[in-house]
Amino acid sequence: MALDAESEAIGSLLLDRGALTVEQLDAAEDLAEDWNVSLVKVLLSRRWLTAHDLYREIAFYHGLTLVDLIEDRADDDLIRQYDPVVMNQYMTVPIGRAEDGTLTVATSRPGPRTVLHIREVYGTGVTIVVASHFDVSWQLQRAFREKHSHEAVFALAELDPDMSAQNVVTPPQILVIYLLVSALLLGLAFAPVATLIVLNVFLTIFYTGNFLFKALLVWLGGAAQETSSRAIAAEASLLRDEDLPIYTVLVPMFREPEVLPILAQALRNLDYPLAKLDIKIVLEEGDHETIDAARKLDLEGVFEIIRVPASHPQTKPKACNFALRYAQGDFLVIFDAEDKPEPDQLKKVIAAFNQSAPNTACIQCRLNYYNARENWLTRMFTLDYSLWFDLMLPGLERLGVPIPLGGTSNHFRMDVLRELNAWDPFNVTEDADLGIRLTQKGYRVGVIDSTTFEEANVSIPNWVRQRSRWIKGYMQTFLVHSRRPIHLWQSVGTAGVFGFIFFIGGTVLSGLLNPVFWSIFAIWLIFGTEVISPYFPLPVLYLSLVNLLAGNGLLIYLTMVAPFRRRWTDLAPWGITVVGYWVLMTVASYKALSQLIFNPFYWEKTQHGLSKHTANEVAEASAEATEATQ
Amino acid sequence: MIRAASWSVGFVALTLVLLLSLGWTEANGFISMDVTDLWAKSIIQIEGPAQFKATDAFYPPVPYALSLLGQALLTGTQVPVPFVLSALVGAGLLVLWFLNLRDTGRFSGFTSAVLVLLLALNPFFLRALADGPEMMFCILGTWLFARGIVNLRLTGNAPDMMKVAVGLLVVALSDSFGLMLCLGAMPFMIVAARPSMIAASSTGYLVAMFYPVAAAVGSLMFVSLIFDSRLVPLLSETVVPLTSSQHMIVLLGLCPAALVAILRNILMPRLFMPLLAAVGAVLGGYTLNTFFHVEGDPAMAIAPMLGVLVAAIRFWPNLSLREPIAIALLSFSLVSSVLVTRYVAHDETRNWARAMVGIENAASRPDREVISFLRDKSEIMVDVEKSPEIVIGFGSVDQLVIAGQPSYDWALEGGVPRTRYIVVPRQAEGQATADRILRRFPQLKQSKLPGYGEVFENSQWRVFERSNEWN
Repeated sequence: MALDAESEAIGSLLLDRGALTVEQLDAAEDLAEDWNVSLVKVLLSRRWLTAHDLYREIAFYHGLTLVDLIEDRADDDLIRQYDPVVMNQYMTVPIGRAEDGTLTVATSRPGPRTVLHIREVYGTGVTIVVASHFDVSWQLQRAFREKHSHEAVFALAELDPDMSAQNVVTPPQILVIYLLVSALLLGLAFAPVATLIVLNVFLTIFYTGNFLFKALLVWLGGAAQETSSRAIAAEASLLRDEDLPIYTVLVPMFREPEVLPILAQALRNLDYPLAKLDIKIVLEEGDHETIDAARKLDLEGVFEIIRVPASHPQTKPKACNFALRYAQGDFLVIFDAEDKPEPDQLKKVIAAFNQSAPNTACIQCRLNYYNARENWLTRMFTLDYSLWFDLMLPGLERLGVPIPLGGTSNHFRMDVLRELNAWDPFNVTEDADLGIRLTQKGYRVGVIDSTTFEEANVSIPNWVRQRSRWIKGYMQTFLVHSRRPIHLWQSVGTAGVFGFIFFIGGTVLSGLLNPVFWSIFAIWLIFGTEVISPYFPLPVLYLSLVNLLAGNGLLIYLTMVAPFRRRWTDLAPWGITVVGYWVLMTVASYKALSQLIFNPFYWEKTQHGLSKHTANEVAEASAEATEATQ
Repeated sequence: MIRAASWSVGFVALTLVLLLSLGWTEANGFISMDVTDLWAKSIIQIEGPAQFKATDAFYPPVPYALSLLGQALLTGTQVPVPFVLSALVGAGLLVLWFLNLRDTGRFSGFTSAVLVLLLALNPFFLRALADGPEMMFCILGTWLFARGIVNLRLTGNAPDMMKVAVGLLVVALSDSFGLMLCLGAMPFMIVAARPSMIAASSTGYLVAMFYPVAAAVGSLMFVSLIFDSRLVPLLSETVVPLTSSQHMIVLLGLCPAALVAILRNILMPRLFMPLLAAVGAVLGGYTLNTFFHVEGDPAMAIAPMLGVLVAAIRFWPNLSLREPIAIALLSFSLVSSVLVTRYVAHDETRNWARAMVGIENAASRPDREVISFLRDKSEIMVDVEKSPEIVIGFGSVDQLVIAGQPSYDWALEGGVPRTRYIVVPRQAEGQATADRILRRFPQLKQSKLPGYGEVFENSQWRVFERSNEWN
């Protein structure tokens, strides 16, 4: 696409005024043509000149005044009189009204289109000034601080309360739980053996179903994606940069300044025009340490820091909801700070959306670890993730079962995300919840073969904290979506309900029940059959034996199969030790249950950057960044 | 719907045809030892007293469990349940082969049908059918393994890895000889593997491949321990020493065709190497069997090669003359197999071959005689685990007094026998005594058990009748 006249003129101006070298201008013009964006956008995606210098030249070009809205704050009351969505879209903000009634409007995108917009919205008696896009965005964030903060927390709970985890348990659910517990206690009081046998039968059948369901998922998931993966990869390679849409990347962080360079470099390495990325580094406003670290990195203009006001609950989904108000893209993805997505991931996602049914609202990419072989825990975590993302999620997709999204690398269509009021800030696995909610609302979640590599937890206490949060979130998700069972069945179908029960409920319940069955096994080993035989009639005993041997054997085998797709055969034998990992899961499950009761919205923070590999990754990323600048 | 119904009718018809062939050999006096054992066990477990506690092994568990199920469903039938199972598996196998050749291998429907017919008529297939469900499952497992290992090389995805594991699991849990096949497969798994899979760790690859078999056998040992039963009582069967040339004769039946079938893809290592590994696995199992004698009949030890043969032909490139060459190859194999089965130096296969051509099996005559003698009698004490022929001769345990019944247990635990008849095998001088009645009452060997007199004897059996009526 040929360069527009304004870009050409601004380029010449920058060259004349010595802001750019000839080589830089040539390169910028080439990129602008290739990417079909303005020269200004290209320059914002490069570190050849600072944002301040660039906007000074833009103001000079247009003959307008450049204002610094950090120093000269705008009138918040005035700003609040206008629609923040429109202001964010056009990057305009009214900053003050003179005594004669003339309104001063700042914009970061001066030009004919913006002038028309300003006349339409603010009238003709307007003075236009230039401000950097950071300043405009910051003024909006400050002016709508309370409103957006409230919406980030309560929008879903107010507009769609049935889908919000704000109420952990609803009155009907309390009644059901009360009745079940009463029935159990009555049974134990009047017919203890029969009650325990019934309970045993129920749990044993549940375990069997869980084992078989997981095996089915692996079988289907393993074969599901080969053909579609090739088609997606082929289309992704044919996509032209000029046709690509604006993509918002949200990077929620909290007190983890050390890993920021990894993500910054990974995003630079993406095979996607940087000028078409709208990157929001989402930080709590009190997290000065990370804010300072982000500033020191001297990031390109496409990186913007969003400061989230302090409020409760202090969760990642709340921060994302807040940042969503300032997103500019047609698509949105969340990455964690230490994430390293494969370079072609965004293009593959666009290709996947192109090839998917129109109701596809989200594409989940795979997650795995770059420090897989660091210690036993990272190996097990890698096997766990390989099983989950490489085999089971594609299996769920194939069966049409609601997919609980993984923590990062889920790519959304922006319109749907906004329509559904985005993430539930009261749910500590807001991503899993959103996946189920999307399916319930008639949308589809796809899974594609593109991996984001992360840092696996190297420390057991840290892992237990992280896993307890995930399991607590699964508990919340199960409770939220089981509130209206008929609605769930109508919206996701029979297979979906079974899948939901086994995949979400099964994950939670197996963690909680494991110690019960392990205890029975230990009692039997120590005291012999006589002690347990009254509660295990012969058919139940046989089924329990099948579960104990074949079921657990099968799960161990599935764990061993998991790394084969990536040819990580050296990890397969470690699958035999997965029993130890299950013990940790059980610890995490009980911690999760305790927190669900006593502190349901508490966000257990996972400490990142503990891995020695991460230090290497940071060093490598910093070196690459320096090299690119030179 | 109509399609499924017609396939079902075809499957039932095929099962009946296979049952007919089994009925024909049975009518000529041939029932294999494996079928005899399995059917007798099923009858005893389902129809015998609740207190009966088998001391025999339950390994291999898959045919055993299915046999119990079949016996429970077909109680009182005169058709041996293992025959039904064998015919069902055989028919299923033939249908699967047909579909695999036609739909996946892209052979025409006619050629696929001819190829499957040639395989069904192959004496090794029919002999395996008569040997019981263990061997049919073994062929099924080998076929699954062979296609799984090729697909694993081609795609490297989880379901194909699981197919390989399922194949190995089926052979290991369906026939004791399957363990030999698993061991035989071990070194060849490396040959079959995608280079990328063993680049990181060949040990990891092998561990993952063989874990299911190891876990299954370990689980069975555990079950055996907790139920206080024996897993593998006597892994090896009767040793029939064979010379090298006799082994060569056995191998000539199926191996040349299998080798030709895999050599067709020699220029495509991604197909040739895994197929070579599959052939190697069966030959490895056969070789190990010559040392461990888990499968006494060498013809049966090579029968799983049929599964490899089908898998190899299915992967032939779709070039001209592919179909006539495949038909010619299987025709050649049919002829060579017919010749080979006539010269296999093992009684059971020889007896089966004779029974197939309508010659009565003399070896089963003593069994028939003793059953004929006992037909109208009752209260017959017999060690059913050591004399399964008596159980299957009656087709039930109604007339028998067996372990778990008070009069049997009383006698075996120190009391005097009080049943009307006692049946024991005839023993040669110096032969070890396996029969528990004979061990408890060695006087029977000399016909000197007080209160009992011999009323029948032949080369295999002796029947004693209670002579006193004091009680």
